[in-house]
Amino acid sequence: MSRRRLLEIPWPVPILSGLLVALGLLFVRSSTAGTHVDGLERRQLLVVAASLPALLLFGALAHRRLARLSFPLYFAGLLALVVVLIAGVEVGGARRWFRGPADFLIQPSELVKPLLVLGLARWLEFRPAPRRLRELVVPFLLTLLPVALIRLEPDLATALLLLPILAAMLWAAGARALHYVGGALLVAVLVPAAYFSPFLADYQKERVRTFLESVPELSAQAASARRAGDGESAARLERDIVDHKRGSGYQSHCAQTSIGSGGWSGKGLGQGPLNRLSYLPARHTDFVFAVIGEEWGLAGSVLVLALFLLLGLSLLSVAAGTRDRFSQLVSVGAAACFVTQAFANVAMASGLLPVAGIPLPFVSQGGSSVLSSFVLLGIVVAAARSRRDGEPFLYPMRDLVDPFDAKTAAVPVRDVAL
Amino acid sequence: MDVRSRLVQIAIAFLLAALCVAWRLCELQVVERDFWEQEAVKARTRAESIPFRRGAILDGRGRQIAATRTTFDLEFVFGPFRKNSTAGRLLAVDQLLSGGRRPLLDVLAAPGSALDPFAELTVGELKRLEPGARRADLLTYAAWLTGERSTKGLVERLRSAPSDALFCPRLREERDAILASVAAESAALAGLERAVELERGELALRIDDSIRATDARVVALLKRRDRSERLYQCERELHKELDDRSAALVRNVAHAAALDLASDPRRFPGLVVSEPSRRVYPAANGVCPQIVGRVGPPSESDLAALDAWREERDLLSLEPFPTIEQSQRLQEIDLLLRTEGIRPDEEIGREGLEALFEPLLRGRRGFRRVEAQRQGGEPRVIELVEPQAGRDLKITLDVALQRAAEAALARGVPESRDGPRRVYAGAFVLLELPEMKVRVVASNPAPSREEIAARYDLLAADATTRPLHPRAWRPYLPPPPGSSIKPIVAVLALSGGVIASSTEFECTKDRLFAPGDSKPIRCEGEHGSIDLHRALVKSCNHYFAHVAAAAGSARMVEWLRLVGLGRRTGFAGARLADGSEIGGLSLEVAGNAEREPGGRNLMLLGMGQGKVDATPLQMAAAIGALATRRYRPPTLIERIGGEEPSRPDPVELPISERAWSVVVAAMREVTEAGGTAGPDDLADLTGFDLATKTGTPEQWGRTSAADHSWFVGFFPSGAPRYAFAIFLERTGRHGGDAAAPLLLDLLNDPAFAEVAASARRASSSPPSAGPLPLPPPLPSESGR
Repeated sequence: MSRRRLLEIPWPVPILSGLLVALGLLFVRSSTAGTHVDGLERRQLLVVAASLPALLLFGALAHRRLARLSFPLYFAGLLALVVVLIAGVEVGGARRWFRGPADFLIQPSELVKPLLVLGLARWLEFRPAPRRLRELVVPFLLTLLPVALIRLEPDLATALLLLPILAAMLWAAGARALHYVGGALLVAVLVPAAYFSPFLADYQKERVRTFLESVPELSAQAASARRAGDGESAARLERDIVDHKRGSGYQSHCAQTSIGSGGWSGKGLGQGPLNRLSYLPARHTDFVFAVIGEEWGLAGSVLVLALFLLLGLSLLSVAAGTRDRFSQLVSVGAAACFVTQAFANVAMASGLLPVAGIPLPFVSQGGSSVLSSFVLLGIVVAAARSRRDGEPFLYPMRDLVDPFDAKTAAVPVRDVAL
Repeated sequence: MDVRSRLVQIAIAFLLAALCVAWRLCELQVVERDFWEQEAVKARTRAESIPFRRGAILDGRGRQIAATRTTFDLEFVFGPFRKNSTAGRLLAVDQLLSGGRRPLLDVLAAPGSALDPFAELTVGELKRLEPGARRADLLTYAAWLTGERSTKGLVERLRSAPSDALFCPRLREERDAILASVAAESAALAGLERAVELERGELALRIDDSIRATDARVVALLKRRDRSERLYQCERELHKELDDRSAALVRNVAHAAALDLASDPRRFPGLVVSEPSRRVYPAANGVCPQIVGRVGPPSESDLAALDAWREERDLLSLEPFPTIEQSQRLQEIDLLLRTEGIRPDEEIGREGLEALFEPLLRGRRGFRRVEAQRQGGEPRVIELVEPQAGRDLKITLDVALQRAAEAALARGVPESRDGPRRVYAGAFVLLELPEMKVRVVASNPAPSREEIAARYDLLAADATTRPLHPRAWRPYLPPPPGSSIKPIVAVLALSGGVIASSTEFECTKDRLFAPGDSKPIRCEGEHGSIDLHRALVKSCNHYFAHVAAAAGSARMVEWLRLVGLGRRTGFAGARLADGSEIGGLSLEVAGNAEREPGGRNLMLLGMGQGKVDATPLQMAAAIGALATRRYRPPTLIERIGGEEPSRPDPVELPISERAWSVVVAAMREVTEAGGTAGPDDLADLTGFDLATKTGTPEQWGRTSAADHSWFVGFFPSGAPRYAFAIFLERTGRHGGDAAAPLLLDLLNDPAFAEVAASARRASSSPPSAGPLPLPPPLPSESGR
C-alpha cells in the first residue's frame, strides 16, 4: 500500500475500533472462562479475522464506486431480509438467521445497517437539503422498509436502531429542526399508542412495564408503606420486587447488580464474583458491558463510553473532512450507527432502557455484529479517501442530480482515476 | 446553517447522550453501590444452616433419659425424579400433553399408556402445541428418554421433516427399553417399600401426594403473581424453584434400608435419605414421661414469636440506601434468625422439662455462607458460625430407683400376711436431704411414653383410674394428709409453747364435739387421758384436735404453710448461676385450710382431715422439713450444663431441739411393737432406723368412699438423709397396714440397696430403749 493510501486512512477510527475489539476479546474471555462455552474468545478472534477481508474489501473501494454500488447493496440487503423470513433458521420463535459455514449463524438485519447507511447516503447526496415533508418520504421509505422487515422477524430493537441513523443523516443533509420537533411529538403520541396496540408482543410490553419499575424505588416505597403500617401495600410492592427480580426484570436486575456492585474500580479482570458465578445471562453477548462494569467498575465503564464517544467524534471529524456529500453522509451514518447502538446497549444494561437484544459493537461476541461493524468501518475508510484539502465542497446542496443516474453527476477526477 | 455546524450539533447530541449514560452509571456504581453490592452478595452466596445438638436430659447418675440421635428419613425430591427417572419423565410428558397429573401407580403399572401417545406424536401435532417452551420441554424429555445428548437432532427434524412424520421415531424404537426401565424402577420401589415396611403401592401414593402438594403450591403462587401473560413460563420457573425441595415420605427408616438406598441412589432417582437429628427417649430409662415431657413441631404461636424480628429484617432489607447502623442491625437480625429463630421443621420442647428448659436444651444453630462457583465447582465457605450444642440437663431422679418404685407400686401390696397382693393407685416419693433432691417420684398408674402417644384419648377419657394424673404430684382429687400431718403439728405446737411434752388431753373416741357442733369428731381408739408421745405413737385424733383448737386457726394455717402445704409447690432449682430464672414446674395442689377457720374445721385440721389437701410430694417435703428443721421446696434439677443451679435459701422452721427430739422419739416408735405400723401388722420395719407416721384419711366430701393410706417419714432417724411419702388411694385400710408394706418391699429391693443401707439400724436394740435423738444442727447453731 502506498504511503499516500496509508495517510488517507482516518487512523483514529480503526485504532479506536481495534481497542474496542481487543477489549471485547478480553471480556469474552473473562465471561466464558471455565464455562461450557470456554474458549469462545478464540471463535471471536476467528470472526474478527474472517471479517477483516470485508473491511479491506470495502475500504479498498473508491468512494464513488462505493456510491454507485450503494443501491444494489441496499436492495440486496432488503432481499436478504425477505429471504430470511422465508428460509431463515428459527431460534426461540424468531426467524433472524441464515446458517453459514461451520454452523455460524448470520443475521442479515445486522448487515443491513451499513447497507442502509449506503442507501440513504446515496439518495441524499444529490438532493437539496430536505426542507419539505415530501422530500423526507423517500428517505423514510428507505428506512422503514428494512425496519418493517426486521420487525417481522421479529427483532424490534434492531429495527428501531435504524431510526437514529436516518435521523442523524437527515440532519446532516440539512433537514429542518421543525421536522424533528414534529417527529418527537409523533413519537410521544405513537409510543403509548404502540404499547396498547398489537404492534408490541406481550413479552415486549412486559419488558417495558418492568423497565418502568426500579427495584431501589420499589424497595423504598415498600419500606415507607411498612413504616406507615400499610402492610397490604408493602406486601404487594414486595411481591412486585420479587416478580421483577425473578420475572421479566431478571436480566435487567442481574445486569444492574453486576454493574452496581463494581463500584469505582471494579473487582478486577476475571475476578467479578457474579461473572465467575455465571449469574448474568448473555454476559458475553448483549450484556458484556455488565461484566466490564463489574470487573473494571466505573473507571472501565466510562472508558468504554469514552472510546465510543471518541469513535463517534472521529467519524464526525471524517465527515467534516470529506470532500463529497456521499462520504460525509456515510460517515455521519456510521457514527450514528455505532454511537446509538453502543449507548443503547449500555443504557439497556444499566436500566435506562428496556432490555432488548442489542450487542455492543466490536465488543459483544457474535459474528454478524462484528462483520457488520467491519463493513461499516470499511465504508468509512473508503469514504475518508475523499478528504478535502482546503478545496471547496464539490457537491453543494443546491445541486440537483438524479440519484439514480449517478453517472451524470460531477465526479472528481481523482476518484475516477482510482 | 452549514454542514459543519450540523456535525457539531450531532457531536453535542452524542456528548449529551454519553453524559446521560455516564450519569446513570455513576448513580449505579457510586450512589447506589451499597444497595447493588448487597444484591450481588445475595445473588452469589447462600446461607446453609448447621443444626445444633439438643442437650440431653440425664438422671442423677448420668443415665440418658432423653437424647438427640441421628435418624434416617426417606425423602422425595421431585426435580431429580422427573429429570432422571424414566417413570418421572413419562409422568412429566403425560402432564405436558394432557394438562393433568396421572397417578404414579398408573404409570408404573402401565407405562405404555403414557409413552405411546408421546411416541405417536407427529411433527405437525407437536408444532401446533403452544407455547414454544412447552414444545421445547417435550423435545428435552424425548431426548432424555431416548438417550440423546441434546435436542439438536430433534429440532432439525422438526424444521425439516413433513408434518405427518413422527417427531421422534426413536421413541417407538426404544419402546421396549423404556418400558423395561420403568419396570426396573417399579421393582426398586417395591423393594424399598418392603424395606421400610410399607404396603405395596404406599410409597407411590406418598410420592403422588408430594407432587400434588408441589403443584398446589405452584398454582397458589401463580395466583399471587397476578400476571396472566406467559403463564407457562411462570409455572415453569416456579417448578424449577420448588421441585428441588425435599418432602419426607417415611420418617425413622431402618438403618439397613437407608444404607441400601444410599448405596445405589440411581435405582430410583428422586428418593434420598436424609439424616436429621431427632429426640429419642431410650426405653431402658423411660421414666416419668409427663415430667420429662416431649418435643414436637413448633406451634404457630412459637413461629409467630419471631415475627417481630422478621418484620424488622424485612423492613431494613427494603431500605434502598441503609445507614451503617441499619446495615449492622440487619446483619445482627439475620444472624439471630439463622441461629436462634425457630423453624417449622425443628423439634421444640412441648411439655414437661423439655418445654420448661427449652432455652437451655435448644442450643444455637450454626450457619455457613458459601459462595457458589461456576460449573459446579466446590462452593467456597466465606462465613462460618459453628453451631452450639444445647446444655445437658441433669435431674435428681434416679432412674433405677424410680423404675423399682414404679414396679413395686404396680405389684401392689399384700392384703394379709402371705395373702395375695392388691394393686392400688398411689405414689411413692423419696427425697434426699437436706437439699430435698427428688430421687423418686413414682406413681401408679404410670403409663409409658409409648402408651400415652398411642392411646392418649382413651387414657384421658378414663374417669375411673385417671391414669394421666400422676398421684405423686398431680392427683385428680388431692387427698387430705390425715394423721401423717400430726408430727408436724406436734413439733410446731411444742416449739411454739401451745403444748408441753407432758400436756395431756382426753380421748373420748366419738364424744368430742366442736363448740356449737353436734357432729362428733371421731378417734379410732378410746385412749383416755393421753400425752403427746402416746398420741403420736397411737395416732390419737382427739389429742391433735385439742392442739389445733388451742393453737387457733391463724397459727395452724401458718404452721402448715411453713412446711409447704396450702400453696403451690414447684420444683426449685430452676435458676441458673448467672441469675437468669426458669419458671418452676408447678406441682399443684394447695391446701385450703384457711378458708373456714375455727370450729370443727379447725379441730379436723389438727388431725390432717377436712379442708387440707396435700400431694405425696408435698408431704415428703413437709416431713423432710421436719427432719431437717428447715423448709426448702423439693428440687428436681441437679445440674444445668455442668453448672450447679442456685437453689432458694432454706427457711429455718421454729422447731426447738427439745421439741424435735420428743416428736422424733415418738415417730421412731411408730414401727415398733404397739405403733400404728408395728411388726404385728403386715410389714416388720423394726430392722430399720425410721421415724415415721401413718395416715388414714377419708376423702373430703366423699365420706362414703374408702379411706386412703399414707405412710410418711425419714431415715435414719438420728441423722436424716432421706424423707419419703407413700400414698395409696382408697384402700379402705389403715396406713400402717396398707402403705407401710410398700416401704418394706422397696427397702428390700436390690435397686434400693444403697438407700436401705442408710436406713438399716446399727444395733438390734429398739430405739425406744435409747436416749432421745438429737436433731441435726441448724446453720445458726452449728457454730456454737
